Order: sequence, then C-alpha cells, then structure tokens
Amino acid sequence: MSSQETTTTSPATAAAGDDKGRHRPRRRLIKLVYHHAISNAPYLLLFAVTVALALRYHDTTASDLAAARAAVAANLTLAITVLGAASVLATASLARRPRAVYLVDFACYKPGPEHVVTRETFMRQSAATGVFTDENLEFQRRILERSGLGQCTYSPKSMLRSPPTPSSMTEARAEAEAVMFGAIDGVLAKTGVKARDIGIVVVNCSLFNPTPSHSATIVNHYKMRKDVASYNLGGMGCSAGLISIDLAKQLLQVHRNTYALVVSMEIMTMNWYRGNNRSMLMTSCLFRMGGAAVLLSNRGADRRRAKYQLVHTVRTHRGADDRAYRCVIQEEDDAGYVGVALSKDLMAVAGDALKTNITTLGPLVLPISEQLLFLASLIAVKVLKLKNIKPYIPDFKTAFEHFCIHAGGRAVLDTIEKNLELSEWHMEPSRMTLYRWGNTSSSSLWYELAYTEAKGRVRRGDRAWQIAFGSGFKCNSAVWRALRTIDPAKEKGGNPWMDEIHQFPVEVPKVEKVAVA
Amino acid sequence: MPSTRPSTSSKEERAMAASSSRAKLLKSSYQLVVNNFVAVAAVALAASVLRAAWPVSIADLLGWLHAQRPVHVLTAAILTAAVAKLVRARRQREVYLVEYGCFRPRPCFRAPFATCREHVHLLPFLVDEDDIAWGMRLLERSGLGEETCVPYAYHYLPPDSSIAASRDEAELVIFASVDDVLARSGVNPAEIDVVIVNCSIFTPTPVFADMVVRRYGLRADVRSVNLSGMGCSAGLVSVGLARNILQSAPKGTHVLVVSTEILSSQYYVGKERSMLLPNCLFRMGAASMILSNSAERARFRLGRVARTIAAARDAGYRCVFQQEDGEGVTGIRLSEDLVATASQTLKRNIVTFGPLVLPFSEKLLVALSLLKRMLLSGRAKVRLYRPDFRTAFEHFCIHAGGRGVIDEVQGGLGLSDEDVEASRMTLHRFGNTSSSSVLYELAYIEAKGRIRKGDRVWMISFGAGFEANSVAWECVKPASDADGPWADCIHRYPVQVPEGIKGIFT
Repeated sequence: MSSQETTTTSPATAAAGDDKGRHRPRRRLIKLVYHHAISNAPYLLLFAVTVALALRYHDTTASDLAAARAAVAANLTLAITVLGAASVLATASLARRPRAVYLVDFACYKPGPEHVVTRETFMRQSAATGVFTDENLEFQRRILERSGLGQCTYSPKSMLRSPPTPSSMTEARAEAEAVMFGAIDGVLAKTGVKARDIGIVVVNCSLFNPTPSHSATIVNHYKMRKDVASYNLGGMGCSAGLISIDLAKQLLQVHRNTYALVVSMEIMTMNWYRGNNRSMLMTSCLFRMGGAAVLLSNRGADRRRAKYQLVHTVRTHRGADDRAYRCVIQEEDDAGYVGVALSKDLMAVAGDALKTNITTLGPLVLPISEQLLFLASLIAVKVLKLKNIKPYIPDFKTAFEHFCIHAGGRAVLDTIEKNLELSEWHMEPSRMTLYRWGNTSSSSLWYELAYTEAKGRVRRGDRAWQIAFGSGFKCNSAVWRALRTIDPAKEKGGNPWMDEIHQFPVEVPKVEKVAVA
Repeated sequence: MPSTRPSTSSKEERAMAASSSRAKLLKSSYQLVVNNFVAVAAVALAASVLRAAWPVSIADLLGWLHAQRPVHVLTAAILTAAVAKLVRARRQREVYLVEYGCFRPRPCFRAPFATCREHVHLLPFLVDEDDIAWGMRLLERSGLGEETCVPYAYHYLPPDSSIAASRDEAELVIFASVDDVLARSGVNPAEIDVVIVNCSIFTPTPVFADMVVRRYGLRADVRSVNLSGMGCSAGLVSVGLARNILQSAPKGTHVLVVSTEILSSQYYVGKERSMLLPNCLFRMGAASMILSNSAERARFRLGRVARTIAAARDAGYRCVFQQEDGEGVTGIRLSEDLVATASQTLKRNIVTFGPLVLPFSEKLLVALSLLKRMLLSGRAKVRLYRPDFRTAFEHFCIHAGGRGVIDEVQGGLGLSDEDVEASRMTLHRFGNTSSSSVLYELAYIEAKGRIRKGDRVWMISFGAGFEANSVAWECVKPASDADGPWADCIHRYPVQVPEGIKGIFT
C-alpha cells in the first residue's frame, strides 16, 4: 500500500484554498447571507408578527384579562369541547404520519487474511486458468492498473486456489454463509438484539440465488420465529442494497414495534467469467468479496441508541429505455461462457439516471435558497430563453455533510465528483473504499459509511446521502440523518476499518503498475 | 358427489334422511345464533330498554335537543365526526384483487407421456432402465394429463439450458400473462406503481422485474422487487408483500404481481431418483395479478393472510434443497421427510389461519373440545374437534404440488371431492406450475361459473423454505366473461383421474 499521506481537510478549508481571484470571497459572502436569510425566513416573519402583536396589545389591563377569564368560565363546556376536538384532531393527524425508521447499527464483513488478493495475485490466477488469450490478459492488467483498487482486496477461496478449477454450488453456499453470518453476528453483537426479536428479514444478492433462499438460510441458522417476514431479492444489481432498505422501510410501516434485518452481499464464487469477450472481463477485475448487515427499527425506545434515522428514499428505474436496459446484461458469449457484459454507454446512462434521481431528490432535501436559484435559472433558460446562462447545478453540499457513492469503479466516481462539484474530502470515503475493498457491489455503501464513522466525521444532525447504480438500469438514493455524534473509539466491533484507519487517506495514483509474473 | 351407503329398506332410508335433516337444521340454527350473537343480544337489549322506558316519547327527545345551545350541539357533532375519522384512519386499508391473467400454452408445447418416454430413451447416458421405468410409473400415477406443457428448451435433446433459452421462455410466459391481465383489467401500464416478480430457480441480470418495466414502458419511479429462491409458495408470499405495501401506500396505488417458474435451465441431467421428481412434475406456466387499495374495478377483496416458515428446523430447511449430486450435476433434491415436514408445516399454518377466518361457532366448538381434553386428561385420549372450513369458505385452491399432497390436505381438512376438484383438474391439465398454480385453479372455478358475489376462496400453497402460506379472498364482482386459460377445454372437465398407489407425489 502506498504510504503517501495527505492531511485530512474539512470542506471549508479545502474550498478556501482555491485562489481564483478576489471576487470569489465576496461572491461567497453574498451567497452565504442570502442562504441564511432564506433559511431563517419563517423565524424572521415570526419575530415581525410578535412585535406587531405586542404593539397592538401593549395596553391590556388586568380588567381586560379578568373579563376574558369570565367569558371562558361562562362557556366552560364549550371551551372544553373545543379543546377536546382540537386535541383529537391533532392526535389523528400525528397518528397518520409515517413511522420513523431508525438505523440502530450496521456491520460490514471483513474476510480473513487467507482471502487477500493483490493485483499481482489476480493476474497470476487469471493466467493460471489457461482460458484467456494473451491480449485479454494484457487488457485485464491495464484495467487493474487504472482501477483504483489496492493490494488488500478480498476474493473467495475458489478464485485463489492453485490450480483455479471451476467452483461448485457447495462452495458458493459456503461463501454466502461465511459472509452473511459474519456480518450478522457483528451487528447482533454490537446491538445486543436477539434473533427472536427480529420480525423482518430482507436479503439481496444478485448473482447467486439458490433454493431455498438466503433468507431461509438465515432463518435456519439463527432459529428465527415462524412468522418472520423474510424476503429474498435476487438479480437486482449493485443498487439492490437501497432497494432492500426501501422495502424494509415499507414493511416497518405495517409491522409494529419490531426490528428489520437487511443483508446486502454479492457472491463471487461461480461467477468468474472464463471467456474472451472484452466487455465481460471488467466485472471480474473489479468485483471483490464483501457483505454488510444493517439493523433497522421502528421502536420508539431505540431512538436514543440508534445511529441514524432514515429520512428519504428515492428510486429511479430507467428500464423503459432500451439502451439503459441493455447496459449491464448477463448472457452467454459466442463460445457459450456466461458473463456480465457492460456496454460502452454505461457512463452516459449512469449520468442520465443520476439526473432523474436528483431531480426528484432535490426538492426534498435542498434548502429553499438553492431551490429558488435553480428555479430562477430554469425560468431564465426555458421560459425567457436567455442565452449565455448555464443551467444552475444545485449545490448538494448545502443539503448533505457526507456522501457515500457506490464504488462501482473509478470512472463512476470521477463523473459524479465532476457533475456534483464535490471536493476530495467528500469523495474520500468512496475512493478509499474502492481502494481498500474493491467493488463489493450492494454492500460498498456500508463500507463507505463505516469509513466516515471511523474517521470521526459524523456529528449529530449530519445528513448522509447514499447513492447507488446498477443493472436495470436503476439509480437509488437514501438520505440518513445522524441522531448522535459517533465516537470511533467507542465502536465495539463490526467496523472493518478500525484497526487501520490511521493509514488512510491514501493517495491513489491514476495508473499504478502491475508487475507481470 | 359424496358416496352414500346403500340402505336395506326405504323406511330406514326415510328415517335416516329425517334424522340427518334434523341434525342439519340444529347445526345451522346453532351457527346462526352463535355467529350473530352480538346482533341477537343487541336486539334483545333494545327491546327490553324500549319496554322499560316506553313512556318517553319522540316529542320529549326533540324538545330536549332544542333546549341545548346550538354551538354545543355543533361541537358535539364535530367531535363525534373527528373521533369516527380517527377510528377509521387507524384501521388499515383494504386491499383488492383487480384482475388476474394466466399464460395459455399452445398445443405445440405439449409433453404427452409418449413424448416423455421417447425423450428419456433417447438420452441413454443419463438414466438406466430401472430409473426410466420408475420415472414413467411416477408420471402415469402423478395425476398429470396428456396436455401439460413444457418450454421449447425441453424439446431439444439434450435440453437447452442456456441463458438465452431461459430468457425466451421467460419473455413468452411472463409477457403473455401480463398482456392478459392488463387487457382484462383495463389498467394502464402508467398506473402501475409497484412490480413484484417471483421466480425461484432462474434469476438473470437484468432481472424479470426490469424486463417487465422495459416491455411495458413503466414509469421511472416504479418500485420493482424480484423474489428468488422462495419456492412454490412465492406467489402467495408476493401477495402478502403487496398487501403490506398497499396498506401504507396512498389510495389508488396499483401493484403488479407476476408468479412463474422458468424451467429451461433446471432440467436435471443426472441419475439420482430424489432429484428426478421435478423433471416429472414441473410444467410451464405463469400468472399475473393486479392488486390495488381502491375498490374501483376490484373483483376480489383480500382477507386474512397467514405465513408459516419452518426453516428454523433443519428438516424443514433441507427438505427441498438445490445442490449438486454425487457427480456434480445440479438438481433439486427432495428429502425423504418431505411429507412429514410438509404436513407438519401445513398443520401449523392452518392452526394460525383458522382462528382468523373461522366463524365464532366453529371456534367455540374447538374451544369446547380443547376444554374437554384438558379436563379429561389422562383418562381418555380425546380427539380435538376438526373445524369445518366450509363454514368459512365456499371454494378452495390448494397448490397442485402433486396428487398425494392434494389427497393429504383433503383428508386433513375433511373436504369433499368437489372442493378439491379445481386442484386436481389443474394438476391434470397444467401440471405443477409452481407458484402460479393457485391462480389456474381460481380460473377453473370461475370458468365453471361457480363463483358468485360474496363467495370466499381459500388459497393455500407450500414450498421450498420450507414454508406454507394461506390467503383468503372474497368475491366482490364475478367474472364478466368465460374467457381464461380454460376457455378451450373446460367443457371436457372434470375428468376422472385413475387411482394410484400412495406415495409422496403419486
């Protein structure tokens, strides 16, 4: 691992380091004042109304108050019934609010040292299979050099043995059980919740779907209740983790006072592409072993100890567009080998899906000040048809403190960093997760959140945005609000970064040479 | 028709008929009184109050009302309305089945026994003569007919297990059933808010839910869910999930549920007998439903739902297990204690479901027999009263898992042959289509014109996990036409299926 260190800077100092002229600070000041004025408009209004009322009633005497009290006493039954009706209506409207969903805790799986795969090991194993042509081995090496993956990612044993013979369903099940049980044991130990108290189980795994399902495996291993609402989502891609969270949220509206266990993982065993179609080679190079388990709750008592509250989930499905649908597709190549092909349109489709998703998400999370600016620029461009006005990109840094972007690959992270104008500090969890763990599919968001916690960045009231893309083509977002400041020293276990967080962040070069054995 | 014992003389016959009709009268009056106990008690109470307070006249009441201040009366009225709304708001939304549609296989997909026998002989490297004979005996006694259908992939030798073939089968069956349900319901694809697809064995990327979104151009904010590995009861699991979603969703939400099993890639090409059963019994099929939480265009109202999972016990978890056999060939192994596990799980499911749906009269009888058993414990083994589920339901759709299974459930619940006719005939005409079979059975009952408004239907299915699911429906609007997957053959049903020896699936 490269030992170059960069100091961790906060977003304010990182922004101030930008020296593009004297106008910048003044414009920033104006924007800040405008932002505070609009955000606090209701309070300003309230202050004005209070002053007006005080001026109006400043000469109230004791006799006026006595007269008012006598009037109420004369109509006591009426007063009581009005108050009663008001309280009943208030209760009714409060009862109809959606139930709050809390994230009590989560744990990510950390495989043992026997699963470590360096870039050189990967190349050696690929060569040892004997199925790839020399050009394709060279192609894979170039991908690895530019991938942003480090030397400590993990692969299942079936991909690391010599010789790397094809694997079986038994091995795939063993990998699934190791990952699932490792993550679930971690989260149950951290929270002290018993398996019998869990009323909902949602598992997602894209490429490996045995019968009976992974959710049945969990119910069997942890001896859960016979009426547990268990669901197994299969084939839903890298964004399936947030689909599971959304599903658990909906189930928690109907099941009262219970816990929901959400398990996200991807199984690499039996999915190593052994053909020579270039569009299918990328997935083996980037995908690595990993999994996470999340414990959600709708019990009021858990609010005190929960880490986050789920604020919004937004799901976007671009499957109606043929080009988007065919972006990530599992099929046989000309020789009959099964692999997952990524089309060349992937970045464009991802950008499109992101735009649709944030168009829905924006109004829900952005402060009024940003929304007004966006509206103004929209009117200027569309209605008034003014030229030379760039469409205003809302500043999502005003809405969120932390960003967890699915570590699909370096290109995706670069695109989002540019489109949303995020700083290096904001992108650090995603880039470091890609470096340390590779692309662990739907669980990568949880490794990124764990990084944010391990660095001590999470303060009470902070909002975190998790966004993931995947086959379909789907783009899903979740917004969490931290209910308490998270002290990394108190994290008991289950945070996979704890032992090595001081080594991060690491400068990841654009191209890192991979030695050929 | 239930068989009756032939009596020796007409006088005995008349006496027996008289006593049985007396018993029936007694039973129905008992049920009437006990089930409507609250109404009967309320009438009795009202009568006694009126008799006691008779001197009070209507004029007096109106005078008292007039004497109150109008603002008090108004606030009292508003308060009552607010409380009523609060009470109504706390009750969960009703969920309805708007319409359902099934895949109708064309005759070119048929797999008559002769074809099965011929194919199996043309693959001599797979099985030996004993296994072939065993398989054919199984097939002949399975309760399947000659018109059950298999996908194109099975018509190849050896079967085409490629992803392309499975995708073709999926597109064929899923799109046909979704086209059917959209046409019959008149729902616009743009109105669909949630798509739930369940298929156990085959899960490609992108998944079937995405395929449906693409084909029908569903909205970008549609929520898709794809359940895999959840066995033959996944259809009713999807109904339960749809219900949970609809109960907390705004009114007018539509959920499209698609249930299927894609067979192309799962044909077992090995030798183990415990893994050959799915080859013999599973057939191609798919069904779609549109569920909603508004009563507009609804045909059935969803009642209670009960789900029992036996996966906590190893026997239940391993009884239907997909794995490689001794030679590395993947198949689904059915264990020897499948029957015991299935009947135990079904019993637990029925014990959970019964109290939710049975009328009070039956529950009282069960409670009394429980009491009797507790009081007489040790002295005699008292058999618990078996509640008559025909007081709660008019029609039964038991998953057509196999002939033996249907017989077991019929015996366990005390149902007549007519009650399980839909299940037996679906097994005969379509085979075991996994999660969609209960909808083919409902289509049978409707094709026979037996469902009237107010009729209640019990759908029960069970499968890998091991889990058992029960769902209750009540008909709101009978089918307007006789169209459906049975349209071309209903006139030939019911058929008499030849008897077989007792076994798991025979």
